[in-house]
Amino acid sequence: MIVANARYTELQRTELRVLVELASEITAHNWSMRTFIHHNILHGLEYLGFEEAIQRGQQLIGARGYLPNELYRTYFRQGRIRPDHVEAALQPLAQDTHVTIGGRRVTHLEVLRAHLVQGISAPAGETLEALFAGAPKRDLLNTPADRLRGVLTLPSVEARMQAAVNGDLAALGHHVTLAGWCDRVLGTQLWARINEVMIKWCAAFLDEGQATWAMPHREETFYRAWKRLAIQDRSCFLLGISDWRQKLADLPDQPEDAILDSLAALGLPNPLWQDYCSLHLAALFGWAGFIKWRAERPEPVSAQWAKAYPMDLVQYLAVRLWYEREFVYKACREDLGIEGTYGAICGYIHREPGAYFLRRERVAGNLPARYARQVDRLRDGWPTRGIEAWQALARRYAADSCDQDHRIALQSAAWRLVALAKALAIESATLLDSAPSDLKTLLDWLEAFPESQHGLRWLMALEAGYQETLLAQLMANARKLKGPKEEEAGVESNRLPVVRPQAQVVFCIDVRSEVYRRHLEEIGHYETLGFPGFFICFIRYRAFGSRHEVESFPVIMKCRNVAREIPRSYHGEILPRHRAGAQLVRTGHTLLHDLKAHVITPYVMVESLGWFYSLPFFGKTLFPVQDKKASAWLKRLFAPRVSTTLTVDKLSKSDAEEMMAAEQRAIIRRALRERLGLHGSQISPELVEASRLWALDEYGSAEPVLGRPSRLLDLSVEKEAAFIEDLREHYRIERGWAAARIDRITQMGLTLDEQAFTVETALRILGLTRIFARLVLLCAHTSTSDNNPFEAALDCGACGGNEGKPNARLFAAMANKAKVREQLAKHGIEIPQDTYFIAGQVDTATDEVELFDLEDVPPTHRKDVSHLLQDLKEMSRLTSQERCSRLPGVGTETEARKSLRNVSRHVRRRSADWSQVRPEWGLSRNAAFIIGSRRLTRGLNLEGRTFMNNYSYLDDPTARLLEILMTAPQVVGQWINMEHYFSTVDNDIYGSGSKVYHNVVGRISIMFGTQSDLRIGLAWQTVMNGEQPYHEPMRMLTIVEAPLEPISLLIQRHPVLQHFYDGRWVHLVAVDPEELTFHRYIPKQGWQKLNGPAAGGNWSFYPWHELASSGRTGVKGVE
Amino acid sequence: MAAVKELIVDPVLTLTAIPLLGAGIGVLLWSRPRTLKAWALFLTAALVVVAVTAGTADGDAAIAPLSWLLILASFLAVFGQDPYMEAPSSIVLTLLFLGLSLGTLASGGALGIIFFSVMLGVIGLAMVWHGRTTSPMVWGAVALCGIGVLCLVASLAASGSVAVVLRLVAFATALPLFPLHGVFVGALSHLPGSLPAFLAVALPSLGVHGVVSISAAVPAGILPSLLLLALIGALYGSLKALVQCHLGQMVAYLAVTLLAIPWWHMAVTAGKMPQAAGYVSAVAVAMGGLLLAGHFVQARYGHLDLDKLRGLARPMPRFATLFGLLIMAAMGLPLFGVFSAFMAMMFSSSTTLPQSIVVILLVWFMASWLLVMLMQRILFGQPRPDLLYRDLSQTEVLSLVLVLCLLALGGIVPAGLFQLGDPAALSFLEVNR
Repeated sequence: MIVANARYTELQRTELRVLVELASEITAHNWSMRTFIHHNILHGLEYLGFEEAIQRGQQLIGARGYLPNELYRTYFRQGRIRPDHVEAALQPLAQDTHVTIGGRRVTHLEVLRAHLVQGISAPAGETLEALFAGAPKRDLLNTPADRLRGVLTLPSVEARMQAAVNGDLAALGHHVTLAGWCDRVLGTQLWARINEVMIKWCAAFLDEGQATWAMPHREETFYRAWKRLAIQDRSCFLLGISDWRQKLADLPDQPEDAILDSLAALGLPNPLWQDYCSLHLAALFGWAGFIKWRAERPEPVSAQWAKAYPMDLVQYLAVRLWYEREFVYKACREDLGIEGTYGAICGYIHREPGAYFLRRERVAGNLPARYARQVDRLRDGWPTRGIEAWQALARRYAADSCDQDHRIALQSAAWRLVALAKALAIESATLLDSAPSDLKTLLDWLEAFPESQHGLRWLMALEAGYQETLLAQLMANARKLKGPKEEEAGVESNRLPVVRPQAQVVFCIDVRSEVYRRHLEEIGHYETLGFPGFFICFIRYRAFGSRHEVESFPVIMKCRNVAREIPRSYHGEILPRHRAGAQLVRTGHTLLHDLKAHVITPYVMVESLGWFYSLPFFGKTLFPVQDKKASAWLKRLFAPRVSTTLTVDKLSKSDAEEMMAAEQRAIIRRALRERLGLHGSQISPELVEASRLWALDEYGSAEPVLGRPSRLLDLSVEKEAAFIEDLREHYRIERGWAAARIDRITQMGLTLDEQAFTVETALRILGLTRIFARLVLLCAHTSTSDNNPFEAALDCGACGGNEGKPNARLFAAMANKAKVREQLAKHGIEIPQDTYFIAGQVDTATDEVELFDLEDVPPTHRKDVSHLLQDLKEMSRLTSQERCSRLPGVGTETEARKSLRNVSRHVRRRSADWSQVRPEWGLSRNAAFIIGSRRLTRGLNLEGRTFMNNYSYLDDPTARLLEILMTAPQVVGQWINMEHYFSTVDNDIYGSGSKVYHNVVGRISIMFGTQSDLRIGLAWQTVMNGEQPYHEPMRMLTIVEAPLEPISLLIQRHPVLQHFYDGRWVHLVAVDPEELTFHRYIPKQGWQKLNGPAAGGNWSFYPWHELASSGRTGVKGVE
Repeated sequence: MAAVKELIVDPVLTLTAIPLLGAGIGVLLWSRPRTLKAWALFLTAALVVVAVTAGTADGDAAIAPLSWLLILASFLAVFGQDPYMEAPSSIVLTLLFLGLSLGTLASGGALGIIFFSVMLGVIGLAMVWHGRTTSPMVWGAVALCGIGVLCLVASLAASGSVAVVLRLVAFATALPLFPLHGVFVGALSHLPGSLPAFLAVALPSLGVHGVVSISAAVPAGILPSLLLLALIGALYGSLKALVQCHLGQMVAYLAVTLLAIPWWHMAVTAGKMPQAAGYVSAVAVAMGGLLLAGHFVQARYGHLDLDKLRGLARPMPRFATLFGLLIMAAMGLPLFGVFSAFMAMMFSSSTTLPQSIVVILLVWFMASWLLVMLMQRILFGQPRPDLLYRDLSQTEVLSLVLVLCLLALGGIVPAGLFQLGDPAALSFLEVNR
């Protein structure tokens, strides 16, 4: 075995780090489950375009990029995909040619359509033989097969062998690792074994407090901790690694060096390195994604762990590649007698192609039993390992297989022809009268359009159906707006109702908001608006009583401002009671947890306290809602509820210093009592101040002047010095700490300018600059469920997977400030005196709305609030009713009616039920993103499938705000859309499988059972309804109501938008706000005006032209 | 002439003649598989009725349950036979082997030996005729059939211990004992259609019947050798099953493993085999059921490698449920006959259990593990896109349900029902006096 011992330069290490960075593009960031963020799982490949990225994903991860064809066919049978859309999707592939079968003209398009709709593929060879043997009318199959005998040309077995060998040689290192090659050819399980050991080490190292017995030496980094512990780990012996202790001890200190060593030991040529690393990173896609995220941009809690226990993909690969090189070396040496290197393996394939082919086919299960046994014997060295024996066997196999292969090929062709005839409603018998060349043509057409290419066509047909319906609805609305009754309807030319609405309610752009908005508008004279749920308040938020901050803004942004939730100043006695009670509850939890996790105590615990758990167990199971209420009541009993507010204003530096000084003085007073036993009048302000300044080293090198006051107490100089040192060390009264504290204090809140800017930007994006209602409700959202590790996935994505309450409260507080309004007025936004902003939050699982800070509402608005609360309640009920009709498990019709009468109770129960795998559908079925005014969508039932962000081009002459919307909220929308798409099309790989098997690991994420990759996407129950997808996987359609020119400019300016639209990740339609005409963006070409059905009759919504690149039709009709 | 007359009026031998006659008529229906199947079903169903009546009224109480079992097994094998997949040969051979099996059981003595010899011979010929001669396993099985026949014929001429040993060798080809298990494995993995499902029941039944009949006369000197061979056989079978890639062969080797246990039991109980027939019957039915299920899969997907045949649970839920239950029965879970028969066999012995029971228990666990593995490999994982999945038809479901009922019935029948006693043994021994 060759091990390069050369030392590497820093340049080589840097190059390697860059290479790993590039290789990791296949792995998207995988957020911790605390802040589950919907994201495009193939985000790193967006530059490739949708189809290419899917192919790459298939190569590296083996994941499917489209739904199984059978599911699309089910959609087709159900009418969800329409025949005309299927035909249109196939049109670009169709040639203008035909054949005649039994007197009937059969066109190329007909054959393609039949193939797509019926799936005219022959089954596997063995199955086919069984089917032929078992077919009642086998002559109908055998006769066409006979007719094809002369026209079908089949490659010989030797040619097939050579093609397989050449293909495998080309794939080695690019698509197949050496360990993977061993598995395929030698029947080993190296890849699985590497994964197993990596999961073991990663789970132990990345644990964030779940493990009772934490992995030691983690502070030394993953690579070093592994190196140190693996030496003592005897599993290396069990894994067959000889002399592992020495090998591990000889490993370099730097992980980069270890990777370079391993790549050299595996003999991989430099050009393969990147692909090779990609293959390794794709092997445990979820773990690699989590490590990548943790190393680059973790949320605050994980950041602390990441800082304490560093790990990155370089270290991960260093360990992984070491195992691979050892395993491959052993397997190749023992089974083939060659070095476990790339060169040696290639040499073996070239030298012994026959043996290689037979081994490979044996492992794949493609050999008949008699050959399998002979291969096994040769493989085991009996009677000989000689190359001649292998070659002889290969020759014999080739000779024997020739006839069988030919027979199967003919049977396969005949099977397909008969199936095609049936699909085209042609008598099978007529095939016998047709010319063999015509039959061959039909087969060639089928061959050229294999089932693996059907997915994209089906997807396009599916998308066309939805998009056509949506755009037709919008166009109908647009036509109404252009009509003469516009003024009578009380609609201003652009956006706002002329009459001041009862209230304006701003919801998140989330698809779930569409339902709330629709119902609220039905109830009363409300104007609803859509805006990202973080209300552009970029804050890190720390809740009252919490020890950690959460990042309450989109994960693609950064911020420094902190908002803290603090008790209101009028709380007197309750606050200490609350704190003591909360502490008691925390201590109780910790105690119980420790008792359960300790080595000895669980045995006693089960006997003594086990019965106690039966109460919550039965309560949670049988009476979830009541149990939840009882728990909340009990908690309030211990820790009474405290009314809170947020820190809105930022302190100036001098104010912060003064606040800091006051805190320090209080601490010093305590220290004087505790350390020196002083009390009362003995602690003079002078003494405190002098001590503070001395501890902060304000005197510099001058003689300390603490002197007089303390000397009065007869303290010696040494005792004085010791006390000051104590203040610095134990009470943190020192300059560095103080500076950090002041920095933190100055991060808290926002300056007046920042507040005014935030409010103004938000209002301008919303187009809410002229007519304000008396109440403006900012309605954030959250979701409550029990026993749901992916609860964060149902929270607000714009708030980083958290609830949006703090942002709404902060925004309302800022918008209500007189000084902010003064500044807004200077910029042309006059908010009336009687307009009051109020914060609220809707729980999307229970549909209940809660309003916050009601004690601040002026008495003049009491009735408005009361009225609003009533209507919100009605909105909740109507929404619950609509949601219940879609939720599975509501049961039979009678039960559904019963449930619908008590919808609120039903959804509350779902939310509290710990066995409920589907508390709500979340963002499933999302399909479109509308950036524009509400006038386009008002009155439409969009079925909760559209993100809706208000935008008024009139308030954005420079398109700066549109730029923000298209590059931020739309990106989040696309992430959500793609997360759902991929989780649906291949839930086993891109999704996270069934919730039933989910197992929380390390408090970071989910595994299947005790050992698996981290599950990255959405659960089966989130996107599937039984065996059928609930979420219809399709790419997002973005509709922007803005002039075409600025949109085009933005696309030119932003690569992310080019990737989206030109790479076909997102479809784009623009609505001219003046003309109210619709234009579709054709990738890389420009705009095409869409004529509505009323105007043109025969019109197409879908950009079939984009198929031109893969099809044969030219581009037409592009303006 | 009188003997012939006696034979004709003997209801049991009449029972033997009917399937043979049926097989003869079946040859005439060779080109019409559906009619042939209907005919065979009618015949076997009628036999069930006749057997129960005859067995109760006049038959030998010791062999009657085995006869019923064979007839039921043949009925189920014919019932589950795919009407097109190798149906004529499978059905005709099933009837033929049923006749020969019943003849072996019913006639006893020299005639029984002759029937059994013919059966072994026909199995060898069927394997050669069925065209799987390229497999070395077939030639090995044919050779062992020849050895079995020779031993049986020689035993007619020999007497005393020699005759007993010769017969023991012959019966060890049917109730598989290492290294004579080749006939059993070959028959279960290389014969057409659902015939292996029948033979999985017939061969061990005949084997155990024969062994029990001579067990009292087995020389004590060869018992240690039997013990050793049983243990080797059990281990060998489980190891061979581990590396098999086809359902039939894997089930055959699992059967070799599980059927080594009665041999071990016979060795440690000094030639007595109380309850062994019950255990053998239960295992044989379970294995027959698995082979029948395998036939259904094979009729749909051909001779697929086990690694290529996966994910059937989702597209074939009916098959998955029944197959899972069969696996549970075969691995000896309670409520099924294998469990109760195994327990009855183990507890019926008054001798102290020797250390070799550790090996037997280990082998039992291993066989159970392999059965679960088999279930996992076939039922779970991603279904293949290039297979045309089709769940079991009602007929197929019914045949597997009947197998399960039979197994469940085995769990509640009286322990003594399959206890083969002295009468048969005497009949064999009488030949040599």
